[in-house]
Order: sequence, then C-alpha cells, then structure tokens
Amino acid sequence: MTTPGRTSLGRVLRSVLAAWPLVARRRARRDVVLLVAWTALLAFVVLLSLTAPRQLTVTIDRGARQAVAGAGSAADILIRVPVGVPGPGLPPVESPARVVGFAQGIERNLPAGIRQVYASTTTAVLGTPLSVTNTTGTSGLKSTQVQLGMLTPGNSKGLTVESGRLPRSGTVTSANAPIEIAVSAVDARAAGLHVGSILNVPTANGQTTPAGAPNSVLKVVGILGRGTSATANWLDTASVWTPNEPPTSDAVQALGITALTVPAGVTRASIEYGEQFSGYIRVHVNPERFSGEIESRVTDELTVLTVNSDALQDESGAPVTVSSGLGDALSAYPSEARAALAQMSLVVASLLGVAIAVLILVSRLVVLRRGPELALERARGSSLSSIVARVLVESLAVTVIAGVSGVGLANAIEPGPVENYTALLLALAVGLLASPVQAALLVRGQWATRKTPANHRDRLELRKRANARRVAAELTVLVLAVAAALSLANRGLLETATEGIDPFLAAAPLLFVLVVTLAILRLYRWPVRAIGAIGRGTRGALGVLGAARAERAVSALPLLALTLAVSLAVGGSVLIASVNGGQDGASWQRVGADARVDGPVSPHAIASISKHAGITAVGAAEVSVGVQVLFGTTAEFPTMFAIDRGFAGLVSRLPADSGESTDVTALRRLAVATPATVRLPVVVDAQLASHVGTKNISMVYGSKTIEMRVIGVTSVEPTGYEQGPFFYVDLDSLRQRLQQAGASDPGLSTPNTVLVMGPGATRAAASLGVAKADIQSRANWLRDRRQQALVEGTQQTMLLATVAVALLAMIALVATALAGARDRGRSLSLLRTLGMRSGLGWWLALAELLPVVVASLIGGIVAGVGMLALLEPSLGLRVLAGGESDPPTVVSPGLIVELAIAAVAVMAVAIVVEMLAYRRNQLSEVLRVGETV
Amino acid sequence: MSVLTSGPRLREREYGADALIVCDNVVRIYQVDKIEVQALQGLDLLVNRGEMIAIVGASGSGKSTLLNVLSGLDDPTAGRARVADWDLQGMSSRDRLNYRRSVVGFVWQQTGRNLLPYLSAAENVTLPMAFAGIGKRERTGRARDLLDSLGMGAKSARRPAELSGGEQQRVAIAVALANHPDVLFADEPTGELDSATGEEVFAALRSANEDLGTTVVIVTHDGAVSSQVQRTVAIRDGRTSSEVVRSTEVDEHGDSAIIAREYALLDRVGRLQLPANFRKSLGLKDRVQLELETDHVGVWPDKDKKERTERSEEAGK
Repeated sequence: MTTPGRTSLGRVLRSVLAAWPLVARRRARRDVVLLVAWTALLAFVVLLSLTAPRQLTVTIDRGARQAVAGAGSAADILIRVPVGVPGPGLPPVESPARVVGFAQGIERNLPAGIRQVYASTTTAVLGTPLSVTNTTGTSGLKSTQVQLGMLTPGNSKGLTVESGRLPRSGTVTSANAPIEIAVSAVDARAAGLHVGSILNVPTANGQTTPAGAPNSVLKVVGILGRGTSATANWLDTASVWTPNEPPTSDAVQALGITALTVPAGVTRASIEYGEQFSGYIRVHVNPERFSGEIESRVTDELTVLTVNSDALQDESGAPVTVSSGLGDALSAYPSEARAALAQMSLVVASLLGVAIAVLILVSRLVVLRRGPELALERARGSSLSSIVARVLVESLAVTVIAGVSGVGLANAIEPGPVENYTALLLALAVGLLASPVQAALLVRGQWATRKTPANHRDRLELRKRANARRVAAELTVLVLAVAAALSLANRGLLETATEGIDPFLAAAPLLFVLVVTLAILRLYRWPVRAIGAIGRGTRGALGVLGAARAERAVSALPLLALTLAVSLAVGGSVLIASVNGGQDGASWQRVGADARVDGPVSPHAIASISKHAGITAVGAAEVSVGVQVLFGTTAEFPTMFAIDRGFAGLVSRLPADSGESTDVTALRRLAVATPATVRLPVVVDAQLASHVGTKNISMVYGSKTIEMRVIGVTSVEPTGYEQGPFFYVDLDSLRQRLQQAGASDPGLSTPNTVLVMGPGATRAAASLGVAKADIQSRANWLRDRRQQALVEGTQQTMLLATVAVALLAMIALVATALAGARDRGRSLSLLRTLGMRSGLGWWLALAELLPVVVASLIGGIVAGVGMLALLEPSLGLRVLAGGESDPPTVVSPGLIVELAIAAVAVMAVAIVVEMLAYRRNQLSEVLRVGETV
Repeated sequence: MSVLTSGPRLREREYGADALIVCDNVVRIYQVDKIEVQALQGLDLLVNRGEMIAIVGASGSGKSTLLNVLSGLDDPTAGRARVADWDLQGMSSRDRLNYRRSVVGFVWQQTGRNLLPYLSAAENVTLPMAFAGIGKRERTGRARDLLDSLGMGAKSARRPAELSGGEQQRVAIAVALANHPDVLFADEPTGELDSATGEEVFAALRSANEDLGTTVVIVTHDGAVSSQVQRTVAIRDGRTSSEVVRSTEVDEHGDSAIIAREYALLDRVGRLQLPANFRKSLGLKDRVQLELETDHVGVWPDKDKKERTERSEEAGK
C-alpha cells in the first residue's frame, strides 16, 4: 500500500527538474517554426518598446534644437559687466585688462544646464557714443559720434589692416600721447577719416586730462578691413562695420562710428573723460546639444540667472546682469512639445498595448497547441511547478534571444539610450511569463477539481456570485476609464509632462478600449443571433453552420487586441487628418489669402496684378495698428483696416473650412461713396462693438481727427496675422476725408497689406517688386509648418505606428484563426461525413472570424473617435495645426471604407494561413484522434 | 491531508472497509451552460484489491464521470469515494499530485493521448518516474523491465508514430504501471483497435493484474473485453444497476465452463433496479407488490390495478 509521506528536498528537486532537458528540448525542436515566429514577434515588440519611446524623445529633442537654431543669435546669453578703472571708494568694475579673462572663465560659473549647451563665448567692450570734433577729417557732417570699442584677442583675429597699423599699448600708456584708435574702412569713408586723423573728445565736467590738456585726443592709426573675422565676434559691435545715424536732440543728421582701441586705451578713456564702458560677454549655445529635457532646465536656470546673477561674479565684485532672448525664442516650444508628446503618447501607448495583447495571444496559441500534452504530463504525475518550470526555461531562452535581437535592431535603426524602461521591461516580462502563466492556468483548469454544492440553491448562489464579481470588475474598469477621461479632459494640455510618455494619458486609451471591449462582449450576441436567424432560414447547410459558429466566435483577448489595433488606426488617422486639416485652415488664418504682401503697394500695382494669370481675387487695405478711437470720454486702440473695394470680395472667397468668417455683408456696405461732409462709415468687430455704446465715434489718424459713424458689426477678424479688435473703413472714403482735413502724408492712405487669391498668387505678389521677406505665401507657410520637427515627427510616429499596428493586427487575427483551427478541423471532418465539401473549410473560418473582425471594427471606430473627442483638450491639436482655435475632428467616410478593406484583407490572409497550416489534415485521422498528428 | 487515519475498529463499521475502491452514494452534478446534468445519482461500488473488473453502460450513463471521480480528476458533489487510503473528496492539489503519482495509472482510448509524441517508448515510460523524483538508474531499469514484460522491449527506442495502435497501447500500459500504482484505470483501451490487437492489449492488462497484482478497472463498450473479466458492473442512469460475476465451474465429467451470473444490485438503503426485460415481460410498472417468503422476496404486478383494468375493459365491451 502506498502511503504518502514527506518527500526529501532532493526528490522534490528531481521531480521538478529531472524531465525538463528531455521534454523541453524535444518539444522545442518539434515546435521550432512556432517558436521562431514567437521569437520574431517578441523581438519586434522589444524593438517597438525601444524605438517608439525613442522616436518620441528624438522628435521632442529635434523640436527643441530647431527652436533654438531658429532663434539664431537671440538664443545667446548676454552677460553684461561694467568695465573701467577699479579704485577704492568706486563702484566695483572689471578692469579692461581682466575682462577677457573674466569672459574666458565664465563657463565654469554657469549653471549645469547651461554649461551643457555651452558652445563658445565672444567678448566685446563698448563705451557710450561721444561727440567728437574732427580736426582733420572732411565728413561734412555737423556732428560725429564715436563709440570706443576694445580690441580683444577674439575680435582682432582675422582682421586686415588696409592702411596704417593696429593701436599699440605702449604708445597709449603715455598720458601725453593720443589714444590710438583704428576704424573700419567703411566708417573711415563715412566720417572722412584717414590714418593720422585726430578726434578731440571733451573731458568729463570740463576738467583737464592728467596731462593737463583740455581734451582727450583720439588718433586714427589704422584703417581696417573685415578680412576673415567671424560675424559672431561683432554681434555687439556691429557699428564697427556699418556707420549709423544716431538720434540727436536738434534733429540734425549725425554720424555714428565705432573705433577700436587696446585695453590701455579703454583705461585712458575711462580716466580722462569718464567714459562708461560695458563688457558684453556673449555666451553662444549649441542648438545640437539641446533636448526637450535640457530646454526646460536651461529656461529655468536662465530665469533664475536674470534675477540673481551673483554666481557669475568674479573676485572683482563687478555686478553682472544677464539677459537672453532664449526664453522668448522658446516660449512656444513647451506647449508645442506637450501637444506633440500628448498625441504621440496616445498612439505609442496604444501600439504597445496592441503589441502586448498580441504577444499574449500568440503565446496562447503556443500553449493551446501543447494543451493535450501538458494535460498528459500532469496526468502522469508532473507537478504544476514542474510544468511551469519547463515552459519557463523555454520562455527564458526565447526572451533572451528576442531581447538581444530586438535591442540590437533598435540600436541599428535608432541608436540611443533606453528612454522608457517600463515599456521594455513590460515587453520582456510578458515575453517571459505569458507562456508559463497561460500553461499554468490551462493545466490547473484541466486538473483542479472544484466541488459543486449538492444543493440547487447553493449552486444558484454560486452562479449569482460569479456574475456579481464579473459585473463588479466591469464596473470598476468603466469607472476608472470615465475618471481617467474626465480628469484628462479637465486637466488640459498644460499639465502634461514633457519628459516622456505620460502614464496617465497613456492609460486612458487602453482603459477606454477595455470598456468598449467589455460592452461588445455583453452585446455582440444579440446582433449575431439576429443575423444567425436569417442565416438559418437560408437554403443549404452553410447558413446554419455559419450562424452556429458565429454565435460562439467572439472571445475577449482577440477582440481586445483587434479593437485596440483598430482604435489606434482610427485615432492615428483622425489625428493626422485633423491636424492636416487644421494646418490648412490655419494657413488661411495666418496669411489671409493665398498670398499676402506686407508693405506699401501703389493702387496701380494692385490693379495690375489682378490681371495676372491664375488670380481670382485681389484685396488691399491700409492697416494701422493701435489707432486711437474715441467714443464719448473713452478711447480704445484697435487695428484699422482701410479696405479697398476688392477686400470684401476676397474675404468672401475664403474656404468654409478655413475657420475664418466669410460673412462680408457689413463690409460690402462700406463700398458706397459718401460725401466728404458726412461722417466716415465704419464697421466694427464684435469686441469693439461691445465697448462702443454710440453710433458716432471718431479716430485720430496721423495728426487728423476723423469723425465716423458705425454702420454695422462684422465677424471678419483677421486675428491670424493682426491683433484685434478691428474696425473697417473704406479706403477711398478715408483718403477723401484726409484730403479734406488737409493731411499731407500720402502714405497714410496707401495700402500696406495686399491679399491675393488664386493659384498664381505667389508669382503675382512677387511681381510687385517688394522684398521677398514681405511676401507671405500660404503654400510656404504650410510647407514650413509641416517641416517643423514636432509636426513632422508626430505625423511620422503616427504613420509608423499605424503600419506597425496593421502588422500586429494581422498577426493577432492569424493567431486567432490558428487557435480555433483544430476545433474547426474536427467539425469540418464531421461535416464531411454528412456530405459537406472539404473546400468549404474557409466558410467555417470566415463564420468565426467575421464577427470578431466586425465587432472590433465597430468597437475600434467607436473607441478611436470617442477617445479623441474626450481627450481633445489634452491633445493640443491647435498648437500643432498652428491656427487660432482647435481644428475640427475629421472623420472621413473614406477612412471607414479603407479600414473595412484593410480588415477584409487581413482576414483573407488569416484564412489563407490557416488553410495552409492545416492542409495536411486527413479525414480519417481527425475523426479518429481529433487531429492529424 | 485526505488520507484516512481511522483505525481498524472504525474500518469495520465502514461500508466496504476492506475494499480497495469504495463509492458510497456518490452524486455528481454538472453545470453545462445553464443546464444541470446529474451524471451520478447515488452510485455505490466496491472493488477489492487485485480484482479486474469492467464497467459497462450506455453512453451518458455516468461511467466516464465515475472514472474521472476515481482518477481524482473530478470531485463528487456528494457521497464518499475512496481509493486505497485516499479519501477523494476535498483532496488538496498536492494530495492529488501524490495520488496520481503513486496510487493510480491511466490508459485512455485515444492512442495519441497516452504518449508524448516526441519521446521514445522508453522515455515515455521513464517520464512518470522522473516526475515522481525517482533516480535515473532506477527508472531506466524499471522502464526496461516493464517494456520487456509487455513485449515491447525491442521497440523501446521507437517514437509513438513509429508504433502500431496496439503497440502504443501496450507502451501506454507500461507508462501507467511505471510508478507501481494500486489501480490502473483504462478508458476504452481497445476502442480504436481491431479485435486481434484488442486481444493483445487486453492480455497486457490481464498480465498487469495477474503478474503485478495491480487492480484493473476497465471502462468499455467492448463485449469481448467485458466477458473476459471476473466481474462486469453495469451502470444505468448514474447508478450501478447490475453485476455479472463469472466463475469457472467443473462438472461431473471434469469439463470446466465459465458460468456468468447476473445480479441485480441492492443499494445500502434497499433500492433495487430490475432489468428492463424482466419488467417488460411481467408488465411491472409504477407499483408492484412484494411478498416476503422464507427464502426469497416475491415481486408481483399490482393486482388491484390489474383487476380494475380488466373490469373497465369488460364494461367497455
């Protein structure tokens, strides 16, 4: 008699481990094709888990780099320090001799983030402009102002001396000697200077120089050419190369030049005539070193530095002030980055969700194939842990191979660090554990007995409890999804993080799809039964068979995977279409027509371009920003559009989806000639109308006051390229009123904004002969917008995600088909004995796959569109579109048709794969043992 | 722990205390979708150690359910089931594992279901021993002995696909016997085989019973099999309905003959199932009269009812 007792540890270990080398090896060898497919899939998922978050980061970083590079020298950090002769009792300054050294050491003192993006430093020392008397020159100008700049090792590099020589320290240090200066050839020509010219500078407060002279003397010793000197060195001393016209108090034209001297000259100038010098240390940043994360760090550090720059001071104690246009240049970037990240997070999270679901689905296929053998092992006395250990060993090998391959491929495609360990670890964990867990569940279910209560009421109670548990679980998912969606909708885009995938935002679509899947699982039976009833009524056996199989076809996991895939495809496509549509609308808002000319254009030229080929409408306006409008005792400063007769017609031609109002009824009322003696008719926008309480108002235009009468309110508000509020008057009528008022400036009523509509608009605008920079073209705006790193990267991510998800959906459907193939094979064999043709196996497959595909198609469309509708405030579509408001969500019927076609194609592939996989099925063998071994 | 710990005195009072397999009023109710199926409805069965019995019954009679309960695959809804020292109700998963390893062995009808296709015959036989933690040398020797004793020694290196159906079943019997089980359950072991091969398989089962002393319980439709065992238990509507006991008798001329006697079974509360042909030929239905005689119980049709029927028929004429 066998009596159970405690078994030794060795025996337990043997029982767990003894059979695995044999069984695991042989089983793997037999299922090698399946395992290779499983490994390839896992490698693909690992690849996705690495490259998808990396793509997000790359896009965000490229956006940051593009924003910084676009800012040009405005992104530089300008550190200003007073330069002069230090002395006791005087405010601390940096000496001219030390300022370059101070600049060279500035990098060490910069905050860590800025240090990371540091590229180089250029230094300039400039004094204030001083009036000089030219004792030898022939400029012919009443006043010449000279600004002294210091020659530094940086800016003297590459200079050429056209005549004379560079100033020398030795000669300057003598108090009796003049301060030697060098000027550029351009400045010299403008000021009539040459080598040897002497400029006298009055000393401070009428005192004499240390040498006892009444003036300081500047002597030109060299005329300079630019040579190979880099532009960056002259950013703060540009006037060295270009003479300027400084404003003067007596409105007489003056000439401003910048002369260069050595540090000793700067010292002398400081002492002799109290010249105030400033050192400009320009820290150039390297756009290529920027990333989304560094951008926010640098911006934060700059904010702190501009308030308190003590950290940059050296031992001189000279106060340092910091300024930079970097913050302004990047002001739009965070919201754009958040919008891009939010949209990409949505698709990447869904993509990884699909990938994980497909992994589980395929592992289920592997486990189901081995189900009978696992049951046999269990029957022969294998413990659950032993079975799991054997599957785990195999899984481990597969995961290691797939992991290494996936990581290798990812690094080959897009090298970089792991951006999101969660995604990678999740993929590897699912790869490792999916098969063992499913094997354990399968075997446990096969051999674990559950005692059924003998009492009918107790059994009923058990069923009720199970149902209650299911309902509670479903309600929990529903509540979580609703809470997540509401929270995100209320939270808005601003709360989104920019450092990576927002887990909150990422979880929302998964929860949403889960809810839709649960709803389908609850509801699908009714329509399937209704259709099945029709099928049963048809002649022949196919209808009956199809209906019978369809009713039990939909199971949770394939449905979840496919619904998620469809929702991603729908969501991604709708996002792309909405942003594209939004950009198109935004281009009309930002340009106002197909082309816009910003600059004065004569009415004759305007009339001539309307005759160009491909021009459908031309409208012009004299636009004045901040015109004082008086009503009663109150004044406002709106923007005036003095429009010509073509303006209203052009606005009315704007497309309906441009987001701009095309209601020009009120504007057309302006195009009526009125006597100059009556008030000028004016149309105001809604904002101004709400402030103006009277019909009679006036405006101060130029130096003239024009009386006006409000004749209507318009919704035409070109806020895309001008700042509101707006009012409109007729250009001819305005001109008439101005002439009557005696205005002499013809520019006051010359159109400075010309809008051109039609395919030839850009060419026609260019023919006006205005500067290229003054022509805004809608096509160019669209091109520039779509080439922005964030926009381009987001769309690329969505496109790649859609392609990847299509592939995964196909794998999911093939796995679903193969998982049911064995059972269908048995049914088909049985049906063949009843006279059914063997070639109709595809019908059974279709009957089982079609409900899943249709359900996931409907569920995916509902989930994709619903999710976007709920999350729209968090996605910042407006930011990427570039318009004034969120673009409408575009769900085209074409998209639905395309999805349906894709679904049919994927289903056809799945059926073909199944038929190929089971083509060797032999009727007798299937009938006898259930399958062809 | 579900092992019975009761002492001999307690055993004496138990139903079937000396039997190896005891089913005492076993009930099993299944739930299939929303339909409840009462597969076993108070079944009683005793199998003694060393017996070789067949269980027969129509499809749906409950014989497979009974086999599942005895195999430890299924838990009875009510009643008591015991095999050797193991109470099959409420066994933990560890108990069930030990039970499968040490107490029972299985042979199923489908030859493909009995053996792992990617292992050789010898490897298949060693597998249960490996699962039980037995050392390599011991399991190799045991596998060789078993296969030799079942006539499969020469083909021990072949895989199942390289063996005939009968050979596969003989290897399956060796696998089932690998861990010295007390009982071997065989579910239609000859169902897929022709009669000659079936005979070989049955011989192997008999060998296991006679040579190794293993109790063998065969569930079968095969009349040839059921007629060769000592006892055939018929199951109808989830209860044991009758038993055929075979014995060899030698007449006065010295000729031996196998005598099969069919018994109706009286359960522990006195319920009895009468064979259908008995009921039909005597018109026994609804209510019968019992008469206690000195050496037997007489069962008679309901006389009052019979008379009432005759009178109403005459009145009708």
